[in-house]
Parts: sequence; structure tokens; C-alpha cells
Amino acid sequence: MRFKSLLICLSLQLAAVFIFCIGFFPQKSVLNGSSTFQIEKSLQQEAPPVFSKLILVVIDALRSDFIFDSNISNFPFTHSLLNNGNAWGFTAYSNPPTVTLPRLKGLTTGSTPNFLDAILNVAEDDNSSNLKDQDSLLNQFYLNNKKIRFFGDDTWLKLFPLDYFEEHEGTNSFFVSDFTQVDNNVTRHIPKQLQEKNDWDVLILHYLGLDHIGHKGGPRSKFMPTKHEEMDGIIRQLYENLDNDGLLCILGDHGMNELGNHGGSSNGETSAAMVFASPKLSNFELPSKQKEIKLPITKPSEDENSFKYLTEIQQVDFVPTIATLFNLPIPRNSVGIIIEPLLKLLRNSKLESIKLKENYKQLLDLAHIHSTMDDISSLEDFELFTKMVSIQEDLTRSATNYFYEFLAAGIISSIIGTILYAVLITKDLKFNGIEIISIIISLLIGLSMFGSSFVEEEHQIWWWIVTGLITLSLYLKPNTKLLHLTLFICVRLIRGWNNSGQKYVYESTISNILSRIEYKDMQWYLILATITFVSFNDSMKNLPTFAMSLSLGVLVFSFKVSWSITNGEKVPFVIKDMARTVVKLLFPDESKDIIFSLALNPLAQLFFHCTLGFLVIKLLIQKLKIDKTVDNIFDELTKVMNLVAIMQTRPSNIPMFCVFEIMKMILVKIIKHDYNSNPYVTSIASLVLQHFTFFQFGGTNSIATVDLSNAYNGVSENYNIYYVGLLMTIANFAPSIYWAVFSWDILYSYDTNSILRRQNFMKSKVLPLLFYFIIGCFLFLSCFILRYHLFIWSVFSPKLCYYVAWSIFMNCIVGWVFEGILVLAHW
Amino acid sequence: MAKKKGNKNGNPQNVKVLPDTSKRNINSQNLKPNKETNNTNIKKSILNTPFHLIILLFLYTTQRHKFDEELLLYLLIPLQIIYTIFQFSSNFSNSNNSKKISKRTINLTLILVVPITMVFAAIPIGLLVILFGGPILENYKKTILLSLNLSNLLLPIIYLSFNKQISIDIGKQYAVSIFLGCWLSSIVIPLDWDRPWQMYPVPLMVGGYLGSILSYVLTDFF
Repeated sequence: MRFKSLLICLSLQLAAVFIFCIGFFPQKSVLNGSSTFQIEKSLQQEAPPVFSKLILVVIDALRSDFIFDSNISNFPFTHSLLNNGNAWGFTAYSNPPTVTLPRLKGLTTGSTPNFLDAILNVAEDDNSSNLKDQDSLLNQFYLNNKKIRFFGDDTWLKLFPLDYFEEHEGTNSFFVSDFTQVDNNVTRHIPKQLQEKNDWDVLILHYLGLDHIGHKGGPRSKFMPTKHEEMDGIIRQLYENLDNDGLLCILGDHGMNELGNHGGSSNGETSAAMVFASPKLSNFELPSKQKEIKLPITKPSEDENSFKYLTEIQQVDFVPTIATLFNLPIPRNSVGIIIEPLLKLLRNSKLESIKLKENYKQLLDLAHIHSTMDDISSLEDFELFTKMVSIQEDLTRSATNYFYEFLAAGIISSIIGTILYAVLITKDLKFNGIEIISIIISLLIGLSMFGSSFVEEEHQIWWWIVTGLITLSLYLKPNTKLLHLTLFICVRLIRGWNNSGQKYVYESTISNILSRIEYKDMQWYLILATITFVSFNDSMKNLPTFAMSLSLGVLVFSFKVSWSITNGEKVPFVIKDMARTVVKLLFPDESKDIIFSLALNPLAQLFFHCTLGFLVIKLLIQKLKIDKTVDNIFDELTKVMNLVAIMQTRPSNIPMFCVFEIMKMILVKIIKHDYNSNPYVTSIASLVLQHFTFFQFGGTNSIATVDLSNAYNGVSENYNIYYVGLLMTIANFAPSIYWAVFSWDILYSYDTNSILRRQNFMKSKVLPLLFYFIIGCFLFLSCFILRYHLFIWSVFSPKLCYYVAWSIFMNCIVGWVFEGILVLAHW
Repeated sequence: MAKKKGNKNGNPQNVKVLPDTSKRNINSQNLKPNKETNNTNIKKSILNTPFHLIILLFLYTTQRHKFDEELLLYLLIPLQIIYTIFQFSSNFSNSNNSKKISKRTINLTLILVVPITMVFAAIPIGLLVILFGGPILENYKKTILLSLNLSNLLLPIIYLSFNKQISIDIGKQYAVSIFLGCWLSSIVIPLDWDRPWQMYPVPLMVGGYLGSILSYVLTDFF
């Protein structure tokens, strides 16, 4: 097969991905403009609002049981409010993706999220998700001359035009391990605001600390109880200053799973708490499910994982309810339904019925269903509720429109491409063993795309494949038992390192054990050993290489130590001292621990600049043939790439690179001796290990596990989104990059000449491309067939995004472009 | 991450039969030309089917003590011994001297020795289960029970190997089929049906039993 046809096939595959995604992720159709009252206008406008002051406390990731369950909740004051009828509690279902930005959109506009929002949540300074043209609660308050003040997560300030807020201060979640400062920055505004409480109508507070604790230590972290009490104290302070016409809402934007992450659609993630509190509420009848129930609730253990407490509502129902209670028009894109018990607060059955009809009419408009006033006014209240529920279900399901032309074009082009490509390469390979194996692997993974649980648990399939392949290889080459056994032990260690997938969460993974206080020192010694091993293994050949490895290794190590110290983790004294010596070179005058946080950005920047500089110099030397003695730059570049991968890995995973290094030595030996450096075998080994280690590093096919902690290395306040995006991608694909680079040792080793290298480059790309082609076909088909499936946005769409990342970043950029440039430099 | 593939690769034989091999060497050299006859000499009989394993599997999956590996193990050991004595071994005969063999069929000392060696066979099997992903720190009891069960499924084979009635190569086929049964059945573990039978080690137990039933039955035909 010629290089050109291979290149054409690659572009065809990328084009198919691109076309399908255009069809699959369209922008949601929204109604523009602000709504006004439609039914009995004058009567509604004159009606007095039930409340005139709103305090909205958003506690990020406040799962329902944090407020309601006796096992975990530490909100004594809130419980007393709930018990004496001054507060009503609800479990609010928050639509996936359960990340902050889409949920805030849901809580203010009442619309269901667009899947793209989940990704934009990461790309924080993108403003395409801005809500300035969309109707929202804040817009309605603003139009009605209410004064809004906001303190908390700066996502709000990115969502809304700043002139909505009379006063505001954003906090950002730069360091996820900051549990206290981020909340104190919000709380310190409260006394002043309570003094000036006649100057504002709406006060919004958004606390991030609880979410940070969750990400770091899970829902049962030892920091949780104190955080609950802190939040409860704030609720007490706010409630005690609340007048009779004030409403205090405490709610979580989403929940969290048992690991403390969120983004997916498990019960824990979608069940957020919502509490309405006001002195006025005790005059009304409690919601039926709250009657005769004493908070906090002790649940029977078999019902433990449902996270359903008291009345269940949709989180978007918050929007029409608040609009009604403050006598505002319901925002146009809201799919919410007024919460029934709270409707009774209007104390006027005629008005109640008008408000309901208003809600109904607004939903009809949103669903593009035409109706006349007569149809609506003839309906009874209970009929309205049932009708609204069915409209709500329809609207939630069809939140986006697909472009069917693009979907079809994408699917057809990928199927045709796959068939063509398979025919083309079969001419060369003639269905030899390795081609059949790669087809079996691709079909196995491809077929698994149709089952949501297999997508969630893809790591299990890869583990299955890895064990199968090693056993097969042992069967084929029985005289290398010891090497294969060592290899097996290595992969087993890697498998035990982290949890992946949603279904099984194990306490005693190696990374969890290493993070425990008593083994924390051990972790740091392992990290030191790993970085030393990776830097110096095989780099003693000549002085420049040694100097390069040494300097990069030292930079990575001192950066990792500084990062952990800045994040308040415990680092053994010896290690700290070593890092301090390095950091002192940058800041000779400083001696306190603050030196580490000061050095954080310079260290990372220095590292990346050195890497880049080294890369360019090496390429130039190679190209201009200045140094005749250096014939092979791949060795050194492998080292550089490995250190970059370590740089972008979180500390608990770094020791895994030590295991990788051992595996690599064994694999290189086996493939060179027993498989004659066959490039096809090498590429399949590389492909399988890329995926296997990706999942074993804690990656999944869910948005929830995208690791952001290394995306800001060396980035200062005014950052470039592309740079952060690149760092984030490297961080999440770090192990895969290692295993992509591993094949260089075999394909371009010293005993190859440049012609052989070019051939090897081409051959090694053949089978991975086949894999991506086949997976693409199955995935596109499953996304198309299952487009109305309940899990389409929580399971299949994220998988599609990951697939795009794999085929663009890992296959195209790392595999083709980067490696291709290096091979060409040797030409 | 509860995927585990149990398996056994003929390790049991390797390990425990090794001391024996020196003695056997002469024997096996003699036997080599006969290897094929050896194979064909298995008496084909419907009674070869391990009915007791089918019943045990049925008990394991449907009865009141559902999925109780410990109970199953206690039932399995005596039943396997009985099966070995009365059915299985009598159907394997060495073409060279089938009359002598028939005397040897009930070798009581061996019958006693074999269960003890089974316990030791369970160690490499357990290691293999762990290597294929079985949990070590959590659920390790299940891993131990699983490997004991699996090793006892091999009891008749190991007995016959000791007794020099079959060659190790034939024994391997049995072991491999149990291994494949375990490995293939573990694919159900990630499915999100949340059924009790998806919990480790149930799929591996069922897979191992099915694999061994199948291998005993298949000897009848091939």
C-alpha cells in the first residue's frame, strides 16, 4: 500500500468524524427575547408578589442526603427549620451533564442543557455559552428593576452580563484543594449585605468548598462534617435576618457520586437538595411527603442508593416557581412546572389557576404547539399538571435537533471508508494473524459501543484483551515464559492502581493506599525513584543527553513537590529539602514555605520552554547534519516525551511510570527477538496498551473524570484557552502518549536506516487506522440508533467526544503529525 | 474492577506432578509412540458425563443457599473422589496393560493423597486468578474459595496423572477448558444489569464448572 492512499484514508476517517459531529452536536434552538405575561395581563401585573426578597444560596454539589439523611448530614439548624415547618425540602433531579455551568443555565433559564455546555464548562473563558440574549430569572429580575447582588463562583459572571449585578465578586476554583479560602471569600460579604438589606432585592451566594472537598476526598471525607456545619451556620445567619416577605433558597446545582466526582447520570450525581425557607411558610400546609416526617431521615438500607427524600421535583421547576412567587413572567425557554405546594402560597385560587395556565401556555409556546385561549381556560388545574408533565418530558427528551443529512453523510462515509480501507490493506496483509487479531479487537470494542454498561466499563474489555493477548503470546512463544510472567505481573499492578468505570469502586486501590497518611512518605520516595529511573535509564551515553535528562528530571520533580506543598499536602522532610534547594536557585531571597507557591509557575514554564527548545535544537541539528555523530534522535525524544507525560500526571499515578519502564524493556525485548521487530505487532501492542493504561490511570468514558488538575501548569492569570486545552489533553492522555512513544524504540532503533524507518512508520500506522475506522462505524451507528435513549447525553455522547479526542489527538496529532515530522527530519 | 479471569493452565499438574516426572520419564518415553492410542482408549460412555457437577451447578445457582462457594466445596470434594473411583478412572486405560490398570484403578493411598495436593494446587490457581484480575485485599476469601473449587474440578485428572493412566497432555486439555470457561464468562461482570449472579466470583464459578463439564463430556466424542 502506498503512502498516499494511506494518507487519503486518514483524511477520509477524520472527515467522517467531523461531519458526523456537526450533525450530532448542533446548537440548541432557543427562543430569543424576554417573555411577558400572556393571560389576563393587567390582573397579573397588579397582583402582589408573595415574596419581595430572595436569598439564593447555591452550595456546589449539595447532594440530597447531605441535607436530609441522618447518616451523613450535619445541618442541625436546617433540620430544625424543616421540622417546624419554616422550611420545605425537596429532592431536585438535575439533568445530566451534571457539571456546574449547564446546571446554572438550568437553574436560571429553566432549559435543559445542551451537551456542548458540558465541554464549554471546561473551556471557561469561552463566551459562546453566554446567556445575555436568553431569557432567564436574572433577566426578569433585572427588567423589573430588582437589584441583584452576587458573590461566589465566577461562572455566573461569565454567564450573565455584568450590568445585571449591582454588586458582585467572583471567586474562582483555580486550586481544587482549597477548601476554606474559596468560601471565606464569599462569607465575608454577608455581614455588610445584611446591614444593607434594604438596598437589594436578590442576593446570590455560590459556595464551592463542598464540591472541592468532594473532588478531593469523596462524600465521606473527614472535612465534610465541618463544612456542613459551616454552611449550616451561614444558613442560620441568613435566616435569622430574614423578614416575613423574604425567601431563602438553599440548593445544590448537582450531586456527586461515591468518589466525589460528578458529570454523569448516576443517582447520586443527579439528586440535588433544594430547600425553601421563610418564616411565612409555617402558616401553610406542609407538602404531603414532609408531613409527619422528622428530619434528618434515617433510610432503610435497601433504599440507600436512591438519594430520594421528601418530594421529588425537577430542578428546572425552580424557575417557574420563583417567577410565580415574585410575580414575574416565566422565562421563555423554561421547561419547568410550578411546584404544587408552593403555588398555594398565592392564597388566591383564581390567581393560582391563572399562574398555572400561564405556565402551560409558556410550555406550549416552547413546544411550538398552537392553542387558543379557549382550549386553555377550559382546563382544570389537575389536568393542567398532567398535561404539563407530558410536555416537559417531550421537551426534555428532544432538547436538541439533529441534522440528519450530516448524520447520514457521516455514517455512510465512515462505512464506505472502512470497507475500502479493509480491502486495500488486506491486499498487503492477506489476513495474516495480526490483522485478524486487530479486526477481532476492533469488532469487540465496536460491538461494545451498543451497550451503555460496556461503554461505561470499557476498561474491563481492555483488561480482558490485554490478558488474552499476553496469554496468546505466551502460547506462541513458549520459550519466553519468565518475560511474559513479569509482563503479566506488571499489567496486574497497573490494573490494581486506580478505579475506572462506574460500577465497582474499590477502597484498596494502590493509589488510594499511597494517598493514605501513613504511606504518604512512601509515595514520595516512589515518585523520586520513578523520576530518577525514567530520566537516567539508558541516558548515560553522551553528555548532552545526560544533561538534558538531568535538568528536565530535576524540574519535573521540584515542580511536583512544589505543587503538592502549595495544595497543602504532606511531603516528607527530605523530599521537601531537596526541592527547596532547586527552588532556591530561582528565588534566592525567600526562605519560607511560600517559596514553593511562588516557584510553581516559573518552574513549569521553565520546563516547557526547555522541552520545546530541546526539541527544536535537536531537529535543527538533525536536519542540518551539524553533528554527524548523532544519528538517532528518537532515543532522546522518547525520554523528553516521557518526562512531559510525568509532568502532566498527578502524583499518585507517577510511580506507575516505573512499572511502565519495566514493561517497556520486556516488550522491546520480546518484540525484537521473538517477533523480528514486526511493525504491525508493535503497533497493536502500542494501541492496546494506550487504551488499557488510559483507563487504568483513572480515565473513563464519562466527562466526570476529565482531570483538570494539571491543565494550568505554568499558566498565569491571563491564560490562553488553547494552551490550557493542550495541557489538559496531554494530562488526560499522559499514559497513552507514553505507550505511543514506546514503539519508537523498536521501529526506529539504531540498527534501522532511514528507508526502513519510513517503511516502518507507514506499516505501524496501518492497523491503528483500521481500528479507528471500525470503532467509528459502530459508534456512529450506535449514537444514531440510540439517539432517543435515556443515556444518550450521559453515556454515548461523552464516548463520542472521547472517540474524537482519540482519533484526532492520539492517532492524528501524536501518531501521524508529530512522529511523521521526526521521521522526515531523518530523511 | 472486579474482573477476574480465573484459570488454570495446567499449572497444577506442572507443579505437583513434577516430582513424579523423573520416575515417569522412562515410562512416558515408552508411551510416546502410544500417545494416540492412549487417547483413543478412553472408554466412551454416557456415564462419563459428570452428573454430579451438573447437579452441583444447579444447586449453586438456584437453591436456597444461593452462590455459597463454601458449601459447594464441601459437596464437591467427596463427589469428585467418588466419581474418580467408580467412573472416571475405570474408563481410562493404558493400552499397554489394561488388565494391570484395572487393578490399579482403586488406589486408596492416592485417593487420600490427592485431596491434600489439591489444596496446594489451589495456590498456583489462586495466583493465576489474581494475575488475571482477581481482588487481593477485598474479597480475598472469595478468591480462595474460587481457587479451591477450581482445583478440585481437576481432581480426577490429577489422580489419573499420578496413577500414570493419562499423559499430562490430555490433562492439559481439561485444565485449558476450565480456564477458557472462566475467562469467557467473566465478560458478564461489567454489564449493568445489577443481578446477584454478576458478582465476583459467581461468573467464574459457573464458567469453570461449565468448562469442566464440557471437557468431560467432550472426551466422549473426540
